[in-house]
This record gives sequence, structure tokens and C-alpha cells, in this order.
Amino acid sequence: MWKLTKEGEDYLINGFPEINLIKQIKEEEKLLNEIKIDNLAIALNWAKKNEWIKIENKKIILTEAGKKALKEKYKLNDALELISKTGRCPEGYLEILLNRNLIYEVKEIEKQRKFKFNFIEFIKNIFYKKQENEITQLLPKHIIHGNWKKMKFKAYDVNAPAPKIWPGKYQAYLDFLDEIKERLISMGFVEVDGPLVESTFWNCDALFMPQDHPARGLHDIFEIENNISAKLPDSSVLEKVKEEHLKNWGGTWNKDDASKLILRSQTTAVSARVLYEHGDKPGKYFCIGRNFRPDVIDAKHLIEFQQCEGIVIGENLTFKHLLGYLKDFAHAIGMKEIKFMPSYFPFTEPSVEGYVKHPKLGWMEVLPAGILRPEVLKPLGIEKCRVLAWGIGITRLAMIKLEIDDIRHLFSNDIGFLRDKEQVIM
Amino acid sequence: MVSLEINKTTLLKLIGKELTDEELIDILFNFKCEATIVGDSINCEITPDRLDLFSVEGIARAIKQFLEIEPGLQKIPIMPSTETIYVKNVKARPHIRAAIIRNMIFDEAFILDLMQIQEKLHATIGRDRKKVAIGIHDISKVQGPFTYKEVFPNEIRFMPLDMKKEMNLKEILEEHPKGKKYANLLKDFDIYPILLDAKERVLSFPPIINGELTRVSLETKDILIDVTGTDEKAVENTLNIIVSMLSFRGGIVEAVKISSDDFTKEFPSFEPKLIKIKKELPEMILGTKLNLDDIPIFLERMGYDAAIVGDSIEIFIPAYRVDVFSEMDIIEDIAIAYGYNNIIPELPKLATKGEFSKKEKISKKIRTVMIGFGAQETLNFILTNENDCYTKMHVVPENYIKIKNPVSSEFNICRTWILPSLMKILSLNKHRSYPQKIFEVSDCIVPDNTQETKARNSRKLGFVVCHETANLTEMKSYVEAFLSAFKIKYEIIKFEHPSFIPTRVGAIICNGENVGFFGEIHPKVLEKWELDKPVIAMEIDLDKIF
Repeated sequence: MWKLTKEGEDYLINGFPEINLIKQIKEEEKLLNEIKIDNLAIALNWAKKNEWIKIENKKIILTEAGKKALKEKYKLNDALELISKTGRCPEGYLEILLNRNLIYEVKEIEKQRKFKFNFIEFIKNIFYKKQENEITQLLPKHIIHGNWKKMKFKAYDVNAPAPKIWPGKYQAYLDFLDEIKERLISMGFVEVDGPLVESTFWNCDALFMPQDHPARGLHDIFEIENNISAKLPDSSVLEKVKEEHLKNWGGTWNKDDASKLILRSQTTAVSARVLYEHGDKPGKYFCIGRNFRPDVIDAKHLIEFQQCEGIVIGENLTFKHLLGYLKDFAHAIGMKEIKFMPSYFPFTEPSVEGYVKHPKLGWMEVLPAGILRPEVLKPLGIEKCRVLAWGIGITRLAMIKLEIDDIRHLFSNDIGFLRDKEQVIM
Repeated sequence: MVSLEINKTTLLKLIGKELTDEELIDILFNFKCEATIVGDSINCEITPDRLDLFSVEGIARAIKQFLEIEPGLQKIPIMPSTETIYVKNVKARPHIRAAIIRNMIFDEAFILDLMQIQEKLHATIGRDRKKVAIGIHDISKVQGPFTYKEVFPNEIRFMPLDMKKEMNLKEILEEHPKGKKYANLLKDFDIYPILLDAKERVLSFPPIINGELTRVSLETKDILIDVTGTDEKAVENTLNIIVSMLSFRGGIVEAVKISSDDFTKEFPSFEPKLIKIKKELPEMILGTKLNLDDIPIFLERMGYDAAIVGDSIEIFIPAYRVDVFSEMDIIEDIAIAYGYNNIIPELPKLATKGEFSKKEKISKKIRTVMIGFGAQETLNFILTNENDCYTKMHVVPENYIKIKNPVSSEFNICRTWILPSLMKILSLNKHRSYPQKIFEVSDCIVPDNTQETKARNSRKLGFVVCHETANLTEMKSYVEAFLSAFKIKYEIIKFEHPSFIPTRVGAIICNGENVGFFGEIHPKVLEKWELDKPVIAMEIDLDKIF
């Protein structure tokens, strides 16, 4: 199979130089310097070879053969046209066209490669040229020249498979947490944050957890090995916290124990800090933050997880209001049925556990809450206001909402899972 | 949660009323106790504050009060003492209290129940026997008066429980399973506590083990309970919990005289604690209208005695309710008796303006821009290990936070940068289609001595792209597009970073400070992560530019 070289294509469009030459000379004689065509040297060479011209005294004169050639179609031009349409070369022209570097051969291998690597180009070359009034790929030239008006569109099959692609997406669990945040902000809550490396003072002591409480041990809290200890708040707070501990728990209270550095094991530590900094005046705050606890890592447990911590500070707040927030929260996550059961947390009294009814899984305990104990509030300087608080294990809710049964998927490192997990709409 | 196994038949017999499984489960919820009933066995998950419920007797008592079969304070008659314990100065565990219970009927189930309550109390209030340890003895095998004193490890020999031979205390600590388990409780002492009878026979070696001599059996009728420990209040509370439970079961309680150089007094004492609250307080806290006359009834159903006296409600708290500190604990019990679900939830009128934290707001915008690049967001653990965080990245470890008690060597330090987390994801997803573009905007933890907790949360952005022709120019386009999206003035300078190919890594400078870097990951790093396609990456310290 033959194709035109760039030069060949040029000749097909703009004409052979020797033809252009004799067209300029016509009946007259012309001085060499009067002739204005591209490729003059080539033109003179081939016009002489064809015996179309004679040169005398710097003048070019057409021969009889030249005059005849002017009236007839040029055979080489016909040959080029055929090749460009069919790839076939008429007999007798092959050698001269090859010599003049106007055509070249397309090998079978190259044809295959074209087919493999450029399917659209192949369709253009073969089908488009065979059936000129059918459009496969719509091209700018069709639109600019208006050719499409005279052409048909090749029928496509919308059921043919398309390559799979994925959009850039929020991580599904973080997307869920964003939804929760927006909901809390719309309820008037201010987002707060606290240090991930925390002192046991804020993580435990300020929350009325006795120093010999089992949940303060190495089995429940990650300790920092760097041989450093925390700077504690000013001594008046320390003294008051110590006093509450000694009065209610007995035993001893050790400052060194309180300044031990750990990885935060509950976001309630952030609430304690906020209460201390914010003081005895109304406000609503929330924190969705990471916590760390030594545990086995399996489908139900992680050693690193988020909690959704909220506090409402105000005078005349009551237990009824706390239940109101829990109910509202349950509704926000699409759980219409809620019931309340007594519960226990060291830093709240009364304490409550909110159960929501899942259509498939039944009653689930997901909303632990309570009114912060005076033993917690007084040392932090809160005496006038009451404080409603909750610390929701948001991982559990996320699993329900995202319909996953392995908690490790919340921190998934599987790109396939991340790509395929749908976005949350609440 | 404390898990307790009890027998349903025993429970119902103690309550004296037939209840269906559903009724039992519902009632138990009021005592923060989640029950699962299978056949005749009830598994109760009890919150650790309600030590009084750690036995079938305690649960039966609470139900009887709640159902008003026997409301109000449990009456515990106490007979005067016939026995004395002489207490010498015992430094390891200074406090001992004891009581005698007579006329008990022992069967195998009851012996198991007794073992269970001991075990549960040891684990909770006893702090694994450190604070409190309990011994129960068949008193018919020994003879008072008793002595609680200190002896040297090889001064005395006796046959401990579950051993067929006599051993001295040192041998017990070294050879007996319980001795080995609890030896550390005595490690600071070279002289040990012992409880002896009038003939110098050993009742117990607290807090390690009792003697075989006083083991309770099916023939036992009268028992001596000794409670020793380091905290006087905890020791007395523990004794009260056990004695009240055995009294409820029908035992006759007899006091034991404790006589030391400082005092001589009989125990147990069930003198109830009195708390007075203003009569409006329950309504003020609960926010719901209560009939004042109902409140004493509610309290009696929760096991208190209560009366309205003038402007106050006077409440007598049973000595075994060691979880009651102050008025709020009483209010909770009133709410429970009233029924949490009878309180109509309502939002308060408290107008406040909600707001994202600045950090989270900026993070969200950044995440949105990264998604605009077609990247998939990821969330990774802060906990990691030195190999992943530094070695595989060809980086010399910097200062980082190390965990003293890791659960696994895979998670024993806190990450200081994000890229290793993302490299790990790439290495685990070689079977997924390319290009792969992933990012994370989240916290790292950086040691910082200027901070109160000697470390700070550091919010960072990490972004990696992996495909066959990924190169520096592509990542530079992302970096510049990212910075322009936030109108950040920056300069890119030549940089050296061991994770990247030399000359193909740049640093981002904002206001003269290095805020991040980007480039082509070095093949030696790719090899470590077993990756076979080029990876380009950027990491930006967001705290430095926002």
C-alpha cells in the first residue's frame, strides 16, 4: 500500500512545478527572471526532461509537446490522486514517483500499529475516505466548513462499554464527619480543638477520675516515652482538683501523676480545657477529634478513633434539655426513634445513654451523655452555670451510616474501596 | 463494665416474685445493668460504680426495692461481738475490718457466688487487691481471739489454699500461682501481713492467699470475713457491701471487735449517711414537673429512706451505696424512679452563634481544591513506626513522640509527616488501576518544648501522584495551582531531600520560611515500598501558611 509524502500531497493540492511553469509561459516566450513559481529548479529540470521547453538566450520557449501538455491532464497528477484515495499505484508510474520522493510504501506492520494505537485515525483514513458523507468522530473541520450538513452521523451504540474513571472525592468517613459538624454548627455550636499529646491532668484528674482508677492504667492509655512531663495550669486549679479528689475518693493525690504525658484517650479532655478557659458563662462547643487507646485491632476495635464531644453551658439548663439535644442529634443522623437509659460516667450525674432504633440492627446505644458533676465544674471555676455534655462514639454511627461492618474501613488504605464508596447525603 | 453471671432461679427466689425474662431485662436497665438471659443463666453487664450490684443478692435487693416489694433502707440487724481481732502495726496493709455471718446454708452455687463477688470487688474497688483484699473463712475451724500482725517471710509456715504442703511466705510468693501473681504488691516490704488465730494458726496471708484450714465447704455454717487494705474507707465500704449482701440472703450478722493501740471499735457499721437537698432541686435539675409527695416514694424504690422536712428532703443513704457522693447522685436516682423516658425532651432557649474552627475551615477549603485536582482523599493513622516513617523514606529520624506501652511494633511512634502514610497506600494498591492520585489533610504530632504538653498538633497536607510518566513538571503544576488558588505569595528554590531525586525536588518558600517541598520520589525509596512506577509528591505545613 502506497501513501503520498508531504511533497506529494503538496503537489496534489498546488500542482506539479513543471505544470505550473508551462502555465506561466503559455504561448509567449518568457525571460527566466520573469517566472515566479515555487520549486523553479525542479520545474525546469522536469519540463526539459519532458521536452516541453527550450531555452534560448535566457528565454524559455514552449515546444509543440509543451503546448500539447498544457491542454491535457498530467498523467503523474492522476497517479497521485489515485494513490491518495486508494493506496494503489497505476502501472508504469511507480518508479518515477518513488524517484521524485512523492510516495512511500506503508508496510503491513505499520498498518497494524496504527490500528492498535490510533483507532480513530484508522477509521478516519479508511472509512471516512471511502464513505465521505458519514461522520464518525466529529472534527473541527466539519463544524468550521459546515460539511456536517451534507453528511450523516455514523450510528453509535450507547450500550458499548466505556473505560472506568473515578472522580476526586472526599474520604467517605470524613465526609460523614463534615455533615455532623455542619449540623452542630447550625445548632449554634462553636468548634474547638485541643492537643493530642495531653497531660493526665486534663485527660483524667480534671474529669474526676481518681488517680488509682483502673482506666488510667497502661492498659487503657498510651503513655509518652520521651521522658518529659507537662506544664500544669496554675496552682489554684490544681489545689481545687486535689481537694475534690481527696474529699470524695480518699487516698492520695500526686501532682507527678497528673503531669504525666499521654496520648489523649477521650475528647472530654478538650471540654475540660474549654470550660477552664471560657469560664462561667453560657456557650455551646463541640469537638470531633482523634483519641488513642491501647486495644486489639480488629473489625470492631481501633487504637485510634474519633469522638464527637459537645458541651452546652448555661444557667437553668436541665436534664430535659440534655435529652432534647440527644433527640435532635438522633434526628439529624436520620434516626427517628430514640429511648433513654440510665448510665454511668465518672464525670457526669445524672448520666444517660441514648439508644436509637436502626431499621435492621434494632436498638443501638450510641449517645452517651450527662450533666457534668459539680465535683468537675467547681475546680474549673464554673459555679453559676450548669453544663450538659456528651461524648459520642462517632465511629459506630459512621459505620451504620456508611453501611460498613469493619471499623478498619474508616481508615481504609484500599484505593478500590475509597474510589467505590459513595458520598454521604444526610 | 463488670460482667456478672447469676442464676435466674436463685434471683427469683430471693425476689419472691415471678418475673418474665423481658420484665427482668427492663427492670435491670434501671440499674445501668444490661442483661442477657439464656435458660437459667443471666449475664449482667454492670457499670463499675454500682459495687452493691455485684452479686445475685445485691441485684435481688435492688429489684425488690424498685418493685416496692420491700422499699426503703435494708434493715441489717447486727449482733454484738463475740470475737476480737488485735491489730499490730502492719505497714504493708494497715487496715483490717471483719464481720461474722452465722447460720448460712452453703451449697455449691452459693460458694461460686461468694467467689464471684470477691473477684469482682478485688478487680474494682480493690484495685486488683492493692487497695482492698477479702478473705472468707469457716470460723468453726479456728479459735479467737485473732491477731493481725507482721511476720518475716520465713518465720511462719502454713498450707495455703490449693496446695498440698506447708510453705513459708517466701515460698508462697515464689511458687504458688497466686503468690507469683500478687508478689509485686509486697515488693516494697520485707515483713508481711498475716492473720492468725489464738493458736497461731494462719487464716490468711493478705493480700495473697488464705489458709487451707479455713476453706469454706458444704458443711460450713458460720463464716468470718476479713477485709484488709491500704485505704480505710475502701476497706470499710467493701466489708459493708459483702455483709449487707449476706444479711439479705438470711445470714445473722455478728460484729467483730477491732482492737489496736489507737482504738477499739466494733464493725461493721451500717449507719446511713444523711444528705439534705432543697425540695425544689429535683425539678430544677430534671426540668420536669414532679409531685413533691412522690419524691420520697421514688427514693424508697431506689433503696433510700427519705422524708420531707420543712424546705428540705432528708435522704438516708445505705452504707453499701458507695457511689453516692452528693446531691446530684440522689437526683439521678429520682430521675430513674420517675423514668427517664417519662421526661419530655426539649431544647433550651439558648441562642448562640455556631462556627467552624479556623483550622478546620481552612482544611476543608484545601481538601476541596485537592479534590478539584481529581485526587482521592484518604485518612490515615497518626500512630506509625520508625521503619515506615523514616527508614523506608531514606530519611534520618528527627525528634518524634514515642509510645511507652505500644500494642504493636507497627504503631509505636507518632508521625511527623504525611507522605509515608500515602506511600504505604500506594504500595498496597499496585493491583488498582493507574493513575493513582491520593492526598490527606490531617494532623501530625511534633515535639515542641514551648508547649504546655511538650508537643503540638501539626496540620499538614500530603499529596502523591503515581503513573508511568509522572514527573517534576507535573507536580510543580499542582503545587503552583494549589498556592495560586489561595493567593499565596511563594518562591520555589532548589532543595535537597533524601526521599527525592537530586535536582528534581524544590522547596516552597513563603515569607522567607520553608513551608513545604515537592518533587520526584527517588527510586531507592520506591524500591523500599516495592513500587514500580514513578511517584511525585508534595508535603506542605499548613500551620505555616494559614
